[in-house]
Amino acid sequence: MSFPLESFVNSVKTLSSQGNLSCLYEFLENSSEMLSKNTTHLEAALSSLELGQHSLGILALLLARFKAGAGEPATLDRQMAEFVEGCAVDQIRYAPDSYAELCHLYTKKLLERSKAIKGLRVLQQAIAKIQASPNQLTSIHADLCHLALSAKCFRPALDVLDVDIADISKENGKFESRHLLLYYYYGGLIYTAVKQFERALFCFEIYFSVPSLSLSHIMVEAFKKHILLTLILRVEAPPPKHCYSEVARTTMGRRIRPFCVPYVELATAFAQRSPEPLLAVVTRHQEQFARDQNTGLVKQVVASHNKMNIQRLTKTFVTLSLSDVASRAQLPSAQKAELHVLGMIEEGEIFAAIDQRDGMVRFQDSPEQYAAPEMVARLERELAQIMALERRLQQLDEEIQLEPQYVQKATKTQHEDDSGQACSSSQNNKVANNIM
Amino acid sequence: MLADLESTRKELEKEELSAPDGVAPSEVYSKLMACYLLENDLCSAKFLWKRAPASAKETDGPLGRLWSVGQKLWTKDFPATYSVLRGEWPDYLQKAVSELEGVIRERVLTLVSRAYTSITLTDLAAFAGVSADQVAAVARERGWSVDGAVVGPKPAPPVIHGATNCEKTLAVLTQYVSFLEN
Repeated sequence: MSFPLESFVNSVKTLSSQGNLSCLYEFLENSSEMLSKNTTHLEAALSSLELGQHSLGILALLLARFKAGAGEPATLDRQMAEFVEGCAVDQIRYAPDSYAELCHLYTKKLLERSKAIKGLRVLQQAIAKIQASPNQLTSIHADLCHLALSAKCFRPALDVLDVDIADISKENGKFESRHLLLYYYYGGLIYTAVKQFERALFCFEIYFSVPSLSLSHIMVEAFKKHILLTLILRVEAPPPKHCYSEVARTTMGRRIRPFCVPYVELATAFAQRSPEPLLAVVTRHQEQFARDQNTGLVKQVVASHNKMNIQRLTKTFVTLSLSDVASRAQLPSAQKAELHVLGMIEEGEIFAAIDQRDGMVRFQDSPEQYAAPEMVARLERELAQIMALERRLQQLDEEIQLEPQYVQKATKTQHEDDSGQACSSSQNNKVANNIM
Repeated sequence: MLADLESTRKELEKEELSAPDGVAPSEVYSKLMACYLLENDLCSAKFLWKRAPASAKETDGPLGRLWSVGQKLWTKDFPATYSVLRGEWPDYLQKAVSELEGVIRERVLTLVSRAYTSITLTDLAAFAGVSADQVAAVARERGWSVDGAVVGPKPAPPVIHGATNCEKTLAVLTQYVSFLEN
C-alpha cells in the first residue's frame, strides 16, 4: 500500500474511533482527489477497514473505485451489496451526498451492462437505510425507478412509489430538481405500465404544481403522457386551481403546447363522436408517436374512444340491440360489440345485461347502494388518510410559526401596524407567501 | 396453494431478484407466472414474460405456454385458454394448473351471471370450458334456469355479512367526532 493511502487508513481509523464523524466527513471530502490518484491500491485499503466501524471510510473508497471504474464488475457489485447491507446508519447519515452519488454510479454501471435486475434489492435497501422516514424522498428513488423500468420488474419500485412523499432529503445541498422531476416521471411510467392510470396521472400532474421558471425536456414528455392519460381515463385536464399558480399554468401551457401539437390535435379529435378524425390524426402523426415511444398509449386512446361511445349509449337508451350498438359505436360486428360490452361490464365501466335470446342489451343504473361493509371500510380508509394529512399540515404550520425568519418578519409588520403606518392584510399575506 | 398465494408469490419474487447474476432457475419463472395468473394480474404476467431470460423461454416450454394462457385471457378467448391449460404440464406445475382452470372458470361464470340475462348453451359451454352435454348440469348446479338451448343466469345472492363489532365501530366514530370538533 502506498504511503498516502496508509496515512488515509490510519486517519479514518482514529477519527472513527473518536466518534468525530463531522471531522471525518470533511477529511474524506478533502482526500477524494488523493484517492482518485491511487486507484490501484484501493483494494488493499478496503480490506484493512471494518465495515461496521468505518462505514464512512469504506464509502469514500468505494466511491473512488466506482468513479475510476477500477476492478471486475462482479466484485464491485458484490462489494456494493455488502456495503449497503452492513454499513452503519449513524455514520452514513453524515455523508448522504456521497452515499447518493455512489448509488447513482452503481445504477449507471448496471444499466451499461444491462443487469438492472441485480440492483433492485440493493437500492431498495439503500433507500430504506438513508431515509429519515418512509415519506422522505431521496435522489436514489429516481435510480430505483430507472432500474425497475430497465429490468421490467416493477414490484420493488411500486413498494416505494405507493408511499406518499412529504419531505425531501437535502443531501448536503446536492439534491437537484432533476431528481424530483425524474422520480415522478419514471414513477408515472411505471404506473402507466401496470395500468394504474389514476396514480400515473397524479405523478404527471406534479409537473403542473412544482414551481419552476424554466422548461425542461422531462416536463414536455410528461405533458405528452399527461394528455394521453386524460384521454384513456376520459377525465378532464386538471382545473387551474390544482396548479401552483394561474400564471405558472398559462405560461407553461403556452410554452409547452408548441412542442406537443400532435397530442393536442389528438385530444381535439377525441372529443368528436366519430372515430375517423381520431384515426386520421393517429396515422398522420404515427412517426412522431413512435419516436416518443407512445404508440402503445395511443392505441389505448383509440380503444378508450370506442368505450366512450358505448358509454354514451347508456345515457340515451334503456335497451338496444347488439347490432345497433355495433353500428352506433362504429364497431365491425355484433359479436365484437358483445365482446366490448362484456369487457366493460367486467371492468365496472357500464352496468348492463345482455340477453342472447333476442340479441338485446339492457342498460341499468349502478347497483351500488353504498350500504355494504366494503364501502364502510373504504370510507374508513380514506378518512384515516385525510386525518393523517391534516395532522401533517398542522405540524408544518407549527414549524413555520416557529421559524425565526417568519417570527421576525411577522413582528416587524406588526410594529409597523402599531406605529400607525398603513399595512394592509394583503401585504401580510405576501410576507407569509414569501416565506413559504 | 391459493390460501397462501400472496406469500408464495412474494417468496418467488424475492428468489428471482436475489438470483446470482440476475438469472434464476426457469422453474422460478414458471411458478411466478402461475401465481400472477391465479391472481388475475395480467400486467405483471406480461412483464414477467418480457424480462425472463432466454434460458427460461425454451420453445413450447412451460413458461411460454403459461404466458399464452395469459394472452388468451387478455383477449377473452376462453375456449383457447382451456385447451392450452389441458396440455401436459411438469409435475411441479400440475397442481397450480388444475387450480388455475377452476379459478378461471369461477371468474368467468361470475362474469356471465352479472352480464347476461340469457345465454345460449353453446356460448356458455365455451365460456366455462366444459363439453356441450355437461354444460346444462353446470348451469343447474348454480340454480340457473335451463330452457331448451338457452340458459338464464342468475346473479349470485349477496353475501350475508356477519355482525359488526359494535365497540370497535363506536371507537372509530369517536375518533371522527373528536377530529371534526378540533
